Amino acid sequence: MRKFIKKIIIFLGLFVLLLCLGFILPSTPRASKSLLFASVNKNILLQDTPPPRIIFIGGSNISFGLNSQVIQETLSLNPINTAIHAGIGLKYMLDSSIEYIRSGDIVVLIPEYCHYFKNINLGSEELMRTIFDVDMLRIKYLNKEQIKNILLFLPKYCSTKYNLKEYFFVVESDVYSINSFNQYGDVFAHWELDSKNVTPFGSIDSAFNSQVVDMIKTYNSQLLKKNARLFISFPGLQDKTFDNQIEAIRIVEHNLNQSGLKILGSPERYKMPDEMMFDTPYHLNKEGVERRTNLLIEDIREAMDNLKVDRTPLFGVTHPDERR
Amino acid sequence: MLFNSFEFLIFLPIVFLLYWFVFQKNLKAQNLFLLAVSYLFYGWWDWKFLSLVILCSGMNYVAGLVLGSSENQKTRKLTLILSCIFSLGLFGVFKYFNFFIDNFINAFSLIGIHLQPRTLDIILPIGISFYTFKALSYTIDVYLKKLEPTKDIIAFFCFVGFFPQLLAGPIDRATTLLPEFYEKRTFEHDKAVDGMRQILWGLFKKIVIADNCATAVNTIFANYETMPASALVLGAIFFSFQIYADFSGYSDIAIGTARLLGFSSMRNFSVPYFSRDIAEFWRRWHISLTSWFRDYLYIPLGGNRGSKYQVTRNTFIIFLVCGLWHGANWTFIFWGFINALYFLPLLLLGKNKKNMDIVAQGKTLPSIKELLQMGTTFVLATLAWIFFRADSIGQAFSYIGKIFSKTLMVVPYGLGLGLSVIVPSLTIMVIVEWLQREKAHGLEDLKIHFVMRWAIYLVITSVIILFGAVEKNDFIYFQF
Repeated sequence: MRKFIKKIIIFLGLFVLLLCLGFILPSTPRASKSLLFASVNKNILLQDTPPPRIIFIGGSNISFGLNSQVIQETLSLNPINTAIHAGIGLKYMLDSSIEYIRSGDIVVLIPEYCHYFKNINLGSEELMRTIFDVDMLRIKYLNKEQIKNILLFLPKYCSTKYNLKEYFFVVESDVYSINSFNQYGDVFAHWELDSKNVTPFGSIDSAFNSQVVDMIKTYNSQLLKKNARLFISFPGLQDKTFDNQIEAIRIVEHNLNQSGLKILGSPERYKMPDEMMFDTPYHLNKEGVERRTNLLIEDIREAMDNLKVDRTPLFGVTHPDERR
Repeated sequence: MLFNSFEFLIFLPIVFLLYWFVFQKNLKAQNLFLLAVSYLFYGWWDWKFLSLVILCSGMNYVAGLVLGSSENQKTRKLTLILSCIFSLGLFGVFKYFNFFIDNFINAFSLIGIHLQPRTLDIILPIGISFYTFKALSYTIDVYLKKLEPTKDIIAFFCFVGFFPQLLAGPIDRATTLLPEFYEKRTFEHDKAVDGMRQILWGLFKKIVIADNCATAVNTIFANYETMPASALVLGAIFFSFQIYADFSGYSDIAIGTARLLGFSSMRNFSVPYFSRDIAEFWRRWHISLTSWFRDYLYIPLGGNRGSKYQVTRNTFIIFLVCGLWHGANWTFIFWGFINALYFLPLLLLGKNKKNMDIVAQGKTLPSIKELLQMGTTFVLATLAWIFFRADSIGQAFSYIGKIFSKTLMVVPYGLGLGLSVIVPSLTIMVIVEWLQREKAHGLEDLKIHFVMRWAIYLVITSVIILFGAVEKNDFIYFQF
């Protein structure tokens, strides 16, 4: 028995040693080219972009689904597309953005539908890589639950450092790389590429997580204290996936409508035909980007006009007619 | 709880340490502890259905006592019949109630009579197909006087509810496994070490092979109407490997875990895809179930003795029942029917026992003839698996029909099937299992330097973590 226990301990010890070595090795050449590293440039945009600003927060549905230049030209606002990947988790997206929000900013939050279910809002492997590959200091934004969540991916992350494919024959992806973003933070590298066959996602069967709506409401309060404004909208989703997930989408819509938050548009409005998708049910091709951007502009404009009619100060100043 | 879950990773070491360091001194304590942790393991999924395990164990224990205490043939027969009705009834109600009601309604509607009987919202209790058969084998063996009935209720309940086998087998016989509960188990180093190796190999097959194949198979079957034919071929092949790796992987983990606790469990898979004909395939696939049907159904019906009509009838009964055992769906029954069609010619021509040894025994490579035989058997088995996997018989025929189209030569690239993980890992599994085909599992008795051996174990562990599928998939046979 002693011999057996000794062997197990030595084996586990060797394995843990390998994992620790893997952890302390620097990011691999393949990982360094990943689009997660674009978060550094996006934070610079948040710091340096002058007002008036409109900030988009969400998953890759926004990074692959907006033409911010059109937004700038049409709304006369300076857009910042902070989106990278839904796997970073909605909680992290909100918590890491708040310090950059300034008075007068408009924030448009477009979570993917999965963020409202189970604990997907806490983030997964992509969040872990954002911390351990991109910037360890960002761990300050994580709570205990998020840390526990990402630790599950740690052994796989450490093992990746021993994968030879991470070091040799590394070819930068033409779409999914740090260099795929334009000066506003939109992924534009795929705009001139042909669309691929998009396999629809199945239904969302997990339980709706009401804490996500509460989290967004808390974020809204934080923004209001900073004299900024929050709008929520819906992702541009492939029509077949939309139909598969209709029950979950209705639950999300109902809860958001009950929340008191300012909603732009409706889920159906952002249901996209298959021919406007690029490679996944959430990534839009050039045609889809244009359509979605125009729909969003219409909704933002209507919301801003409604706010002026309500006499609700938009940028912390009263309407000119009231200055008497 | 799943074998490939974080909970089991904590559960097993605690059970192991308590079993060997705290409860080892006394047989009754050892068995009681095993019983408690087995019920904890099962109850982790749903404690309410634990009552069925206890009920099944209790019924068959009492039946055993009655059979042992009576020499009256009528009483014994009646006891056996009641025990069978109870065990199979339990199994049948949970598994087939709604299936038979639905088909009853459909049959009447064909003649214009529309019925509205109620179907029940029944959840299939996990493991019911396995532990009922295990308990029933005890009662039948006691009736046949192959086994003395046990008075040790704890040992018997432990035997039925033994956690490594509780959810998906192997369906060990009372004649071999139950006596192991009568004696205090002592720790055997070599048995435990080999048990760990078998667990590791089982985890590799389940997490790396089966779960990654499942992702590709689910995509292909869900979208088979728009996929190229080459992808459909891959889908069928991957499903063959998925179901093998999933179930044999589970069996390896179950057997390895039993060995860690000092028990010997029967082998459940013996490299079935290296079979040279369908008869050999069925001697090597899900051995505990096929031998159960052979001993308790086929042979009592007359087996392969009697007229050609009787032999044909018995063969079809066995395979149809085997199909039905897997689930309440016509696809499983049709899968059984196809296998009966494959098997019958060999049986009637007396060629079903031609290949009793392992292929290319003592040689490194198979001959061309053996390669062709294995290829043919694999293709036949894979064609049948399509029916097993499909949602309906119609879908299966449609799937097979679409394979024979112009797009058979189209390279299935860019479909997000994860081929870069599946193909290399499948290749490794096939090579390892070929080289180790005469052993009990892929990592048994590797005749290499211990440094190399340990390096292999570390690499396999790393590969399991690195390439394990992101989507966690239940073991396929849990749904049976």
